[in-house]
Amino acid sequence: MAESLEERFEQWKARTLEPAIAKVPECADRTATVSGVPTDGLYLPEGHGNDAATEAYLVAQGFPGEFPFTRGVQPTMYRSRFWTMRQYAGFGDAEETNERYRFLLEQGQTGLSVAFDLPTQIGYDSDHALATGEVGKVGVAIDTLADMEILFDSIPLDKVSTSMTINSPAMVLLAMYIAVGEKQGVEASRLTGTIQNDMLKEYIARGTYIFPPGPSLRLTTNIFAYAAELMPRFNTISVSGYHIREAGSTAAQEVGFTLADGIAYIDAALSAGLDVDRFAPRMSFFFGAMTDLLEEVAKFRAARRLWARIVKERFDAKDPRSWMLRFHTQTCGATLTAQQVDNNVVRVAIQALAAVLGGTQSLHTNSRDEALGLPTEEAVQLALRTQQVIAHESGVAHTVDPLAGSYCIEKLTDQVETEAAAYIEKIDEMGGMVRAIEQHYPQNEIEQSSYRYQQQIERDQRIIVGVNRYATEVDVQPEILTVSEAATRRQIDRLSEVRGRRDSSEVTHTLTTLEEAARSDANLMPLIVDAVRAYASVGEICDALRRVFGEYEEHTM
Amino acid sequence: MRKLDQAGQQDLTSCTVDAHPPKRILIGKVGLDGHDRGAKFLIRALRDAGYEVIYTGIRRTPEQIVQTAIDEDVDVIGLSLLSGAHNQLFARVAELLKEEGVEDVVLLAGGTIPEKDVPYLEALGFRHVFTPGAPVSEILSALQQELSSRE
Amino acid sequence: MNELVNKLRQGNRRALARAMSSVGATGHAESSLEVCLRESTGQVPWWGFTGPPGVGKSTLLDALLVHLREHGRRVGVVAVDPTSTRSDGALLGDRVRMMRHAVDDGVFIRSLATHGHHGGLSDATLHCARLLELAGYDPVLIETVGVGQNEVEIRSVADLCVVVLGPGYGDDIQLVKAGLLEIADVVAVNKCDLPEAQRLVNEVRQEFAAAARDIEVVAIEAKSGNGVPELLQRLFELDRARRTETAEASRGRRRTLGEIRRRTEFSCRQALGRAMTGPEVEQWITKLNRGECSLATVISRLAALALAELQQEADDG
Repeated sequence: MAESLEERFEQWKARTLEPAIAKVPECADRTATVSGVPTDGLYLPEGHGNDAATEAYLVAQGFPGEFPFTRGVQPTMYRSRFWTMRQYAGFGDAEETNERYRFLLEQGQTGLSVAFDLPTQIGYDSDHALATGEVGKVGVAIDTLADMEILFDSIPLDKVSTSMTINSPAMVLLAMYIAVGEKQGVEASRLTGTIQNDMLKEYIARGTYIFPPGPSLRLTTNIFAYAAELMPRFNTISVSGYHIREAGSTAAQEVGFTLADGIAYIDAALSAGLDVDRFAPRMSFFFGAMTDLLEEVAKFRAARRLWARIVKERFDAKDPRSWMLRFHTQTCGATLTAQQVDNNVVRVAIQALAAVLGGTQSLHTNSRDEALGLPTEEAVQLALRTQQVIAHESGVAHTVDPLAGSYCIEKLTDQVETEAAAYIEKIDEMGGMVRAIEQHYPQNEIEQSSYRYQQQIERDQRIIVGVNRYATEVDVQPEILTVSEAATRRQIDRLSEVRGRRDSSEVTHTLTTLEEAARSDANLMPLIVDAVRAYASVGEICDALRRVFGEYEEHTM
Repeated sequence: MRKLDQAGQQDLTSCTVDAHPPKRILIGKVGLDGHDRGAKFLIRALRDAGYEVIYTGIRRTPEQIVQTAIDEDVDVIGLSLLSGAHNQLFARVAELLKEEGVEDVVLLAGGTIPEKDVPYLEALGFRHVFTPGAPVSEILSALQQELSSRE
Repeated sequence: MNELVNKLRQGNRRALARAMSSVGATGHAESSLEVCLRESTGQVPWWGFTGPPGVGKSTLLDALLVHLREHGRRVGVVAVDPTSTRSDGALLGDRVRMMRHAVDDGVFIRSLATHGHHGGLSDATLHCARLLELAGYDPVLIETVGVGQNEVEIRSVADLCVVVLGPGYGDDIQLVKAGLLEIADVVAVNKCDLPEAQRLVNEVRQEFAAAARDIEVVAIEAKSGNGVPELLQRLFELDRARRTETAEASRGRRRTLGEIRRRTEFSCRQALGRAMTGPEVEQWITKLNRGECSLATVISRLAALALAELQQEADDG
């Protein structure tokens, strides 16, 4: 006779729960409701104790911290430690952004998330013609190591984990982070954080590409290989569904296309000769959270289960850490409206709750004024407070995967998983994600979903409060933050000052070496670290690579 | 020439005489942001409303936008930008149009544009400024008004 | 009008663009500009590009423009996209792939919609190509969507036809391909980085061999530019052959013939449409259904009515 669920539960406690608690104990204030009723960390199905039901439960859900991780990647989840509250921030130049980071850390934020401006993301220096008007606008402008030193001034890199939203020039910014660490006396092996480094979704949805897919994938896997040796605590990729969702996809498309991207990265790394269990544990994910709370919770659960199965069964990974889908969540910016901006606070609260109920590892909550421009300090603080209220007051952190077993949630989880798996199968048939992108398959699917969604709004079949119903005549707009022209000038001045004082022969030497190596199949990461140390700029390094790899141009209607 | 709009025409032939050819619109994305969800929705809606739409794709310079608008002889230019660089880049488009002596084109602006920038853009010649959440019906009716007032 | 022609001949882009909007806008009446265009063009061969939607025609044109510019040629492009069947609107999406040439003084791209001319060419295509030739662009490239029955139309306008094919465009590709191959002077098979493309190259070559036609099939990859210089060499050869004097005469003749045919068809269809709405039609239907007259009789009566309509229109004009 098969073991009962109770027996399996006891085994899980001994095998998974207790070692975890020994490492990070549960917090005493998360073990009872506000009325004093004790709450368990984990609830299991009751009252249908036959073998088939037990087996079905174990296959579909299992225990948190164990395959297939439907219920979460850690056995205690937030009972021991809240998710990382990580507000994406950056604007103007490094000085201004450094000030904002220090403010956020003082306010109780537990990790940093760097937003770079568009010229940095596309590999143009601040004085490039195409950077006109864009310097410091959607993030901080970084040209050389000198900027990065200012950005992390008085922020100890051995204590704070940093997420960097950077893709095409990911190597350059990671190299700068390593170099800043060196200057602070923190070795690369002790650095923690995440680099987005997800190029495929740039072609699908986000648009900040530089190089064609082939060279881009090479750079991605170069980072995998480098970090596997030297940066064991750093997440080397954040495979991103967020931007796919923001472009208008459905929940199942978000999961399907993101995991298909993940599969392409594993394939690329395997063909570069890496061992799956060496890099897969350092892969992380990034999803959006919409306001449709139940579907979102189901989506996160489905993504975990599907990914675990893929990595274990398709790629034969042995290390359980390879199977875990760990993810960051950001509330979806496209749901914010310029009309009645205070409504955005409510939307963000629901979206954040969905992420927490879905078991996110870290969370960014949007500020209410982001449909109008950059968030003010006050608005960012309110967004952070939203997370803190959910963490400390709502009680949802007391129990792992609290919505499990809900008929609705379980059914939705199955549906999202099935639909996402069908997308992955279709992409496999097309010869993988790179081929599918070339044929515009994911782009077209997303566009159709987006069009449908917008049509529903236009036809009032879908209500957006304050926009197509309950609209008001007069809309009061709050103050918003403006990037000062002074910051732009300061940035350009600093760049020319750095160019003046650095050893230009060293810059030329490191750039020539890099360009040569780009023509071979060498790992470019160590060479980029050298160039960065010599204060070569983001634009100069990317130009060296452009000369070898060419540039990607893709425009569809 | 006789009018062709009697019933029974359409099933035989879809040919029409271009007494009133469709208006031509250029939708352009200046600057570096890749957020084209709104622009892509809009171009379809404009097509369905009977306009001929030319879309530039992302990451275009003001020079590319203006030259394209001239070559395609469009009636309307709609610019979209979400990074906040509108004051500089939209101004540059307006300036180039002036330099080229193009004065009869309707200019529209869209994107994450704070209210306080609207007067500046209007002074540059932008007839309407649309922000996130603006329904397409609003854009279409503004457009129709602009075009009919010019006829 | 003369001033406009002078301006556009001197390279004034705005004048050229404006002329493109004005020409043909008056419907059936001939403007003096149209007459002038017919008289003063015919020296430059036009290159037509057709093939299934999504096969990469615009990307190929984009790559060709790079090479043609390197050869010092000033290039005009007319890119035709279908008008929506639901509205009079259209998404003119070809030039989005050629945007890097937008600020090049030696390239002029004009996007057109098909209007009522189901997937084929509108009169505007002919006018715009003539204007480009008049403004000194050489060669003039014309891109059209090749679907269904309208492939022949490009043949009547373009002096040499490039048919662009690629692997993986649905089950109807065979049908489309068959029609397209008839009109090809050269075939470019795109996406030759894919293994299926090589199969397609072989297949097309076999078809030409079986038909004893000496048509070159060039494997290209428009995106990377592979094979594009080879294609261009072939186009230059064909272009040279077509620049002989006899060819020039027949070129002007063919364009005018095509124009006459398109206009006549258009007018006949319009006239027939009007004839069909006449009160006699109901009686004929009844008679035909009762077997009181033959279909041939109805046809000849209708045709006579349509002709009378046309005559009336000419008299009115």
